[in-house]
Amino acid sequence: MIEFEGVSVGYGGREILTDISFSVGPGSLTALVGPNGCGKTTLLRAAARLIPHDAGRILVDGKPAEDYRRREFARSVAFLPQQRPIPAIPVRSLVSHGRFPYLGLSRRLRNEDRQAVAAAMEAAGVADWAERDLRRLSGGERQRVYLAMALAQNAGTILLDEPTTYLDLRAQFELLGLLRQLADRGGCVLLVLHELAFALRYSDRMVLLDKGRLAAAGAPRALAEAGWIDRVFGVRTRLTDTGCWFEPKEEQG
Amino acid sequence: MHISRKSCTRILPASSTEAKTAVLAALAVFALVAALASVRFGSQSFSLGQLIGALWNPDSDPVRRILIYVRLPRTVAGAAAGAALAVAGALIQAVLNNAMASPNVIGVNAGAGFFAMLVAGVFPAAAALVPAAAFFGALATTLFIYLLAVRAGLSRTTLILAGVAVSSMLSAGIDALTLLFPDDMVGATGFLLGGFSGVTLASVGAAGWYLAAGGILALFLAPDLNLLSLGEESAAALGLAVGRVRFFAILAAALLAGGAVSFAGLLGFVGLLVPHIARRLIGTDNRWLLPAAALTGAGFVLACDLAARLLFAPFELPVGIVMSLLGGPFFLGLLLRRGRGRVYD
Repeated sequence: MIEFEGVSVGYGGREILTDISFSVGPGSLTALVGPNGCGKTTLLRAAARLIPHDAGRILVDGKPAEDYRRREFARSVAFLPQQRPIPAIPVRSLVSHGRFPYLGLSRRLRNEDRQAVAAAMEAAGVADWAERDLRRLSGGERQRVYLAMALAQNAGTILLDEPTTYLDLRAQFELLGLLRQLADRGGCVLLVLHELAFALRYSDRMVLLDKGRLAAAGAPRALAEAGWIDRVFGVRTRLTDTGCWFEPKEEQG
Repeated sequence: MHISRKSCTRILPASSTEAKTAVLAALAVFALVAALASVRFGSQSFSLGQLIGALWNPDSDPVRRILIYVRLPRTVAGAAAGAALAVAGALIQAVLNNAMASPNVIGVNAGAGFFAMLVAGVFPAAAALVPAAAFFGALATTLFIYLLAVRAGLSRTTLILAGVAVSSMLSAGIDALTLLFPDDMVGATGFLLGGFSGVTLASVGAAGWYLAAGGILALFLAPDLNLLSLGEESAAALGLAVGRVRFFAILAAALLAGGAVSFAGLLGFVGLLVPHIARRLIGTDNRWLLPAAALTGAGFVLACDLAARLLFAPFELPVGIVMSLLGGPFFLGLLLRRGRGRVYD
């Protein structure tokens, strides 16, 4: 569970996020959406403690994020950044890195670590590629391997920055389906999404950021029906019973 | 990324623990054979029996004198310098997450050499200070390049170019020192090219503590360095103290490179070439890569030194020349491979 209470984040003397308050509880997949440059990635990086916040509190499972020890924090919060190098390592080794916060001084995997790695590879559907070189996998396959690494971390909260970027449609569906399952099993998932149609389909809550402030938060369909997406993105949302599409504003009659 | 059919048939690194152990054992045999050959062959060659017998002979025995005062110091120095520079190279490549980096390319060796020569020139009597000065020079240069990369957010290529610039500035400094202190630089040519012809056990011993400390620190850091290949943010999100690990890895690399340069001079390409060969053989896991690089480096430098002694006997080439002749084409090949879109690291 992760809670933001009046969080402000500045970067290089400029305030990027102002007074953000919302929370993501267990069993929830929350999509963080907003126009480019609205501060989505900054908020996620602050939540992952990669950058400090200037005001307000970020609580993880009820405790301020900055009060955690480094590896203790990694046992509670997993974070997948958008940009990552692609190292030349076998899939199993990469997933095993997810156990780093649990390892002792010798950094050797214990039996329970190996079991957690196997379970995470199974859950992300990458067990068949365990010995394959990461570089030989497709973008979608790699993303699932990284997700397996985050699952092996066994953290209650998982943060993902645009995990569907560069993936083809089918791979996007597969990845979001996995994340939805994770949330349904009690995980707390907060992810930045560019594709609003996916946010509407897969998330149970949507947090809309606009120019560094929280514009609205709530059930995705309710936000769309209330016109929030139209206001923030300057588009026109067409909702159907099963999905949605978007049109530019100037085309409206 | 296009993968050609040819690239699929290349030698794959050992993947199982058993295979990696076998590779390490083979590399240990290679280093041992090179060491034995280095002791046996030279301007005069001896059988192993002769050499073992000479160990018990009085100090007046010429075979014993050659063994104790020439061959052994040279072999120990070659093995130690090769291992140290190879591990330093692997560490620097891991810290900068850049396969093109090495102590030689980014100016670490030149930094160590400049300070070593400065101390040797200004305080000719204080020979014991040379390893300390070399360590300081290596540390200062590595930290400078690292901070440049962090603060200015340099790309991989820009970082290498910046290293080349730093390296040439320090080389100019070294040239200036040879002009300022010509009398103290009798061995300067050997130092600049790198070599073991005048090396003594005392000079290797003085650097020994630096090498031992650097080596132990490197092995201790190896598992944590593996996380750096995931990128800084992912590593930090897994709970790694990224800044601390990088600092200690730089410290270890400086101890190793500085220690090696203090008695072996500016040996080029070991730190670049050997980690790449070792990575091909044993993969990217630093827990295996660092020992493999140490053994490969020791064997490779000893073999090059032997070639330098024997190729044009009785004339001897500085080993640095032999190594650069081998290392140059390898580096070029590496650049060409990257140019075709192969991600090497």
